[in-house]
Order: sequence, then structure tokens, then C-alpha cells
Amino acid sequence: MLADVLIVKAKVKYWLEALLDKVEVIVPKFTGTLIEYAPFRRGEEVMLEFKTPVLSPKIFFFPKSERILKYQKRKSAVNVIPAPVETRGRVIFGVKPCDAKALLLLDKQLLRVGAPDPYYQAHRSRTTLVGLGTSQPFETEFSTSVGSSPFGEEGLDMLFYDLGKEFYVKVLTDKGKRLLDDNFTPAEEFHRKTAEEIKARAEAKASYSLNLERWQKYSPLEIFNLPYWSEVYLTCIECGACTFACPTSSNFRIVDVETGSEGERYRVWDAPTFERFAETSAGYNPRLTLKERFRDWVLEKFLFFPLEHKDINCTGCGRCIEVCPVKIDFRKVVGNVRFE
Amino acid sequence: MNELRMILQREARRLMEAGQVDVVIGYARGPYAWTTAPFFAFNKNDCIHLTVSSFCTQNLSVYLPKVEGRVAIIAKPCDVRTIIELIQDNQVRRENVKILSFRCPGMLNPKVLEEKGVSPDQAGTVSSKDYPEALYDWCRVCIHREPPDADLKGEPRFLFEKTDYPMPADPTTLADRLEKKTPAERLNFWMGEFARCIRCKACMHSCPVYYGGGDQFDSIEGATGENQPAENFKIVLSFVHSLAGKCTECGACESACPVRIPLLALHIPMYRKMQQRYGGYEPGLSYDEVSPLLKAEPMPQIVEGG
Amino acid sequence: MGTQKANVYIPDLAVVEDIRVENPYTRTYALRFLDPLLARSFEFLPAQGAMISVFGYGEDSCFFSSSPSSRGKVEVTLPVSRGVSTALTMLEKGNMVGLRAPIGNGLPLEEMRRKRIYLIGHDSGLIPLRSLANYAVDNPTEFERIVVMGSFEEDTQLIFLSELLGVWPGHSIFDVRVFCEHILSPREGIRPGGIGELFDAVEPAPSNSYAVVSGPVPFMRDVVSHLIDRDFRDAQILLLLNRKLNCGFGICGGCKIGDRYLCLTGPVFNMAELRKLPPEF
Repeated sequence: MLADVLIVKAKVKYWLEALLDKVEVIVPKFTGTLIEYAPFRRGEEVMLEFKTPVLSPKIFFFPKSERILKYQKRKSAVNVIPAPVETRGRVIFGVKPCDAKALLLLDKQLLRVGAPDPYYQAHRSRTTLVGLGTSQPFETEFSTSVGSSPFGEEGLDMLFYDLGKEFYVKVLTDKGKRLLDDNFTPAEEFHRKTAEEIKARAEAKASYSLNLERWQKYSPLEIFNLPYWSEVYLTCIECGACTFACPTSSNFRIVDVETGSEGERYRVWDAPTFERFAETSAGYNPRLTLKERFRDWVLEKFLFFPLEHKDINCTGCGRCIEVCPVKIDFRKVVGNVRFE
Repeated sequence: MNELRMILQREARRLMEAGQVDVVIGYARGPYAWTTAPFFAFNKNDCIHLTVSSFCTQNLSVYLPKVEGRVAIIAKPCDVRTIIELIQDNQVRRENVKILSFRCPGMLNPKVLEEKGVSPDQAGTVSSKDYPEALYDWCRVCIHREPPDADLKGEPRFLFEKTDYPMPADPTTLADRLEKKTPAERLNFWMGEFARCIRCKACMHSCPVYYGGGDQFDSIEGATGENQPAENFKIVLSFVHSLAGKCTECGACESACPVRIPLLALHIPMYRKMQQRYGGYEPGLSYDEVSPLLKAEPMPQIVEGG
Repeated sequence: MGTQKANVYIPDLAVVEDIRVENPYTRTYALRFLDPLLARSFEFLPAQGAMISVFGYGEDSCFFSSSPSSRGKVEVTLPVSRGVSTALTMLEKGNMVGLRAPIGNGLPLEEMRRKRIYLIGHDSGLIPLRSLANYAVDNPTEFERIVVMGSFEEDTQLIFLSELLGVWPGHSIFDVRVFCEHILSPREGIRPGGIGELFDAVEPAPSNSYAVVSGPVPFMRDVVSHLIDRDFRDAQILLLLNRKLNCGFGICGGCKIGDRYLCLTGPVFNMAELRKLPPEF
């Protein structure tokens, strides 16, 4: 068991500034319109209490556009240079526990045995995740109903509990232990108890039930063929906001960008709700209608992914509902499935 | 706004019962505080969920071309104007649509209200009468608060007297503030904004009169890594400019943006320029007048400073 | 392939050695890997595919159309459609492309040994079937009989003419039937008719046989119902599905059907497997 420690809130800034000498530090910031994760610079104040940012830390591991390779064409020959993988150490402070769990789910998709995505893998191994228990979740958060929690520890290296004047810090891995310095002081039993109370209170708050156990009684094909799916998609306008904001979605396309005789190949985000998502270059589209694409989006997370990985591909962060331009309530879409 | 909600519900129910429409497209309460969500009522009992508040920022006419049969639609005046555009473009037939509209008090930004300490419980009743400073930019400059066409019958055609909703004292918008900056500063501002863009196409898909569907973002040009802000800006700018003479400043695109890029600060100057150059043309005010950009007439003289 | 590549996104370079025009819309490219070691050791199965890249235009999936037994050189055939396949037509001999291969599961050659194989393909659906047919030309003892059932919309779309009318019928284990819905210029060996006529002419029998079906979805549906009418069991019907591939190793989700990835456990599915998957086929 790794020792638990305390840090006074005012000292968090100094701790992060000291870390800057060794690693890159990412913190949540208010950038005028939104709260976003962005690089921390010396002398800046650190937000210690904030609403869940709209874009999850996924953007640091699976960015919206990642360079895969560079190529140079010389007459008929082509020279291919793989994009280098990043190795510099990095600390992300203020990760929401459900977003850390989301990274574990992304691991299952992007770190497939035998064919791991090298860029994602590099970003994962160079990053230490410092979690901050969710004190201000989205109103739409339902993490407890999909097996994660506002104070979950899965995937995190450290977890901060807000005790008012100070943070109670659970050090969860060796990677996290390496970040400790003299800004931290040992914690008492009393602190641990308070932290546990905070956790219990937060979990009770985010208790929305998706009734997922009802799904067990039906075969995947039965669920797939329910007439229900032709009712729920109606207001969807087929943008990709939900997929892109989702911390566990990993759909992408590969595109080349050419300038003269040189060019680069990128891996860019794609969304299953887009019309062209599954269309082959010959023009055949297996999911021609929005109904099919919307159903595929939902079932991929709650039916097909669990069949493959024994885990729901959702952490209940509530971002999909928050960003949806037409405010489709995915809790209801999933929770109110009519089995008839 | 309670009274308005009751009247709209009653009218929707009446149309359903009379068998005049197959579906009513309206707003229902959204999944969390302040929000409303588009809602399709297929029978008269569903009509009870219909609501209207100062937070109905979506433009429901985006669904009209997709829905079959006879439709009743709850539309703000700016949405009615896009319906007229759709009818002009042969996307919708007038006889299939019953327009339930009202004199619009303008839509409010919940963020400003929250800062003022207004509780979300008041979402159903609060209006621009109480908090004119919370009006969105596009409602701030809106002078068409009465729908150009509507089918609401049996009740006063427009539900509120004009004096009820005074124009905001300070009608300056982000677009005006940007206008005062130098081009370099403006570009810098937009680069910062579009660095956030995630290419989700929500702006394009929420626009009823944009038929492109956002394929530019799928194209090779839209995919570069390093020039992302510039590429995003270029693509969204092409979207904005293709709406010249069609955009009614309904604000659906901006309120759809998950990363809150202030798109209307691009639309508003374009709208003004269209007016200046083409004799005050404003889209969607009548069925007969089409966009001057669609007329095969010689270009008017471009006035200096236009 | 065994060994894991350091970076799964990086294609291996290959030189275009030959370009053969099959019909106005379809070309076959003979490719040789630049790396001589890889060129010698590269193995694949019939109905496996590759991600082919033309630098500057991106990547697209394609099927190998040559026999796996011809070492050192691989052939891919692509109908011209959007993007990469159009860019390919601009290439000349000696130009370079990228290949990420092999992708997919391929046909179960072990199980198909000493069986009668019906290769049923429509238009460009014949591309992956050519790979198996040519494999059978090289290894005639492997199979009891190969029945090629080619179906075309129009005779301008005929592909692999020299094989369909020359090479394959010349072998004792082959039986080749080609039907066209619309014939503009009649020639020997091409008969008028669709799937119905094709089945009447061949009369496939289920005992000790496999049917490999490839083509557009409506065609495959028709063929499957014909085969089931003729008492073929689900496990004997192998279908080659066509989906959009982006990554080719089970991440992007473009090719996903239910919980199966076409690039990992496809493109060959037998009918029994497909019945358990969402009816998107």
C-alpha cells in the first residue's frame, strides 16, 4: 500500500511549477469561453475547482489529428518517414476519474494485441494522470450506473480529494509516487475518513440508473431489431459532436495532405453518425439511413463492445448530452429501451 | 411565457384532433437545467410535453425536409423565415406545413443568467423583459420579432405587444467589437477560436438552409494537422459565405457548437453587407422575393466602403 | 506473419511492375515489394486484401487477385471509383505505392482441400476469386473441382477474359460458366442470362462442396437464397463482404459489423456466422 499524503491547496501551484522543470504539465484552464485542458505555464494560477471540461483528456492521447508519416516523392521513388513518437514526460493534473477509466477503455481499442497504435501507446506511457474527484459533475453525469464513479481510482496514478483547505491525495501507482516532493505532508486516519465520506456523498449524487440489466434477457440480434430504434433517432441532426466529445470513442479516418512533392498522412477523427463513415470508395454504404447509423453508435457502446471486451464502452461522463445540439438524452435512449 | 406555452399546446392538440397534421415538431424540456430539446409529437397526448421558453435556440425547420406527411411546427420568427427559404427552394411545400409562431421576445443566454444569480427553476418563465442583457447577440440585433407568416388561428395572431419587449439598451455585438479591431487582430482572434474546432459539423447540420452537409471536413483539404485552426476557419468561412442571402441570423449554428465558437460574429457582418449592397434585401421575409444572388442580373456597383 | 511491426500504420513500399487494363473501369497492378527479403517471404491467402496507398491520395482497401503460390510478386485488381483507385490509374510502371498487407482472414484453404468449390462472383466480385482459381491452377491436386460461375451486368464489364475463356477452361478440374445480362458484342463462351440461368446451367450440388460468393450485396442475397434452395448448408456458404477499411487492424470501427471486425475476422464469413450478426449484410 502506498502512503497517502496531504497537500495544502496554495501549494499545488508550487508543486506543479517544480514539475515543469522535468515534464510538461497540463491543467484545466478557463480560456475565455470554455474550460479546457491546456499546458501550464509558470506563474499561472491553477483551477482547483471547475466544471468537467467539454473535451476530455482523450485529446492528448488520441488527438483530433495525428501525423502518421511523411513522404517525399522523387521521380518514381518514394521515401517514407514514420512520424516520431513523443517521449517527453507529461503530467495531466485535474483528470476526472471517469476520464481515466475512459482511457482504460480506449486501451482496449487502440492497444490491440499484435497491432497497438504506436502514437497512442507512446502518449499513454509518457503521461502520469493526476485525478481530481468530481465535485462539480455535469448535471447529466451517470457514471455510477456504468460501473465508474466520481471518485473512481481505475487508470489514475494519483487521486485528489478536496477537503476544503487542503487536498487528501491517494497515491495509486509508482508513477504517481515519483511526483511527490516536499510540498506533500503525511495524511492522518482522520483525513482518510473525511475523504471516504466525500466519496460516498458524491456517488449518491450521481446515481442515475440505466437499467442495463434488462438488456441481458435479450439476444444481441433481438435488441438490434427492436422497432424502438426507428423512434429514438428522429431529432438527431447527424453531426459528430457526441462522438468527438466522448472520451471512449476511437473512430478515425486516414488522409493524405500533399504540398508539392512532399506530403503527410494524418489520422483524423471520424464519427459513426456521419453519412460517409462506413461508405466504401465504390459508393456502397451499409448504413445508409440515419436510423442505422444512430443505432450503430448506441449499440457499439452498450452491446457490441461489451460482447467483445466484457465492459461497457461508456463511463457516464455525460458529455454526449452536454454537447448535443439537439440535447438528445442518451441516458434515456439507453435506459428506456422498449423491448417489444 | 407560460401563457404562450398553453396556447401553443392547445393549438397543437387541436390540429392533431382535427386530423390536420400527422406530427407536431416542437420543443420539450431538455435533459438538464435551462435546456430545451426538439420533440416530435405523433399523437394528441404527446402535445402535453410541448413547451416554449427563452432557451429554444434550435431551429426546428431543419427537420422539415426530412419529415414526411403534414407537419405543424413551432417556430420563432427567424425560423419562419428559414421555412419560407425552404419553400422557395422547393424543399418543403407550404400546404404541408402549419406554422405555429409567435412574437418572439428573443432567446437568452443561460450563462449570463447564471452569473446574475437566476435559478434554473425560473427557466420556464424568465424572458428578455426581465433580463435584456442576457439576450444572445443575434437576438440583440434582430428587428423582425414578428413572424412574416403563421397559421395560429382562434387566438390573437401575435401573442405579445411590441412594447412588452424593448430592444436592449446596448445593441453592440461581438461582431461590432471585432469590427473595431485591425484585420490582424481579427484574424488572431479567429485563429484562437478555431483552434478549438473539433470538426463535428454541428454548425452545418443544424442549419436548415445549408444543404452541403459538411463534406468539406471529410475532404483532404480539411485534415491537416499543423494548420488546423486556419483550415477549420477556411471551411467554416465557406459555410458562412455560402449562406449569404439565405442566413436569417437564427443563431442555430452558434448555439449548436459544442466548443462555443461565436459563429454569428461571422454571419452578422455578412448579413449587413448583403443589405448594404443589395438594396436592403433580407432573406425569408416574403415568398416572392428571392435572394439577389440568385437573380441573373448584372452586379450592382460596389459602393466604396461596402 | 508472426512478427509484430513497430508501427502498424507504415506501409511497405512496392514497385508497380506491370499494369494490365481488364476493362475500361478495372485494372490489375502487378507489384513487387521494394524490400527483397519481404518480397521473398510475403505470404497471403486467397480473399485476403491489402491497404494500398498512393501517396498524396490516401489509402484504400483492395483484394489480391494473384495466386498466393506465385512468390515475389503480388497482383491487386481495383475497379476505378473514388480516390485512390483513380489515382492508381495515373501511375506508370516503376512508380511506387504503399502496401499494408495481408489484411483479413482469407479463405480456409485447409478445410476446402479436396472439395468441389463453386466460385460465384459478379463483376468486380470476381477479383478475390481469381486468387483462389489461380491457386488451383498451380495446385490442381488440392481440389476435387473448381466451378467458376461468373456473372456480369454487361459484357463491357468483363474482367479476366484471358483466364475465363482461355487458361481456366483448359484445365481438367475447371468448369467455367460466364453469363452476361446484356451482351453488346457476342463472343464464344459468354452466354446471356443472370443468376437464375447461371444456376440452371451449373446445378450446384451441396455434397462435399463449398460455395464462395462475392459481389454486390443484392447479388449475394440472391445467390444465397439460390444455394439454400439447392440444400447448401449455412457452413458451406462463404461470403466475401465489402466494407470501408481505414486502419486494417481493428481500431477505427469503419468495417465493424456487430462485434466483428471485417479486417480481423473477415472479409470471409460463412452464412452461419452472418446469421448471428446484425442483418446489415
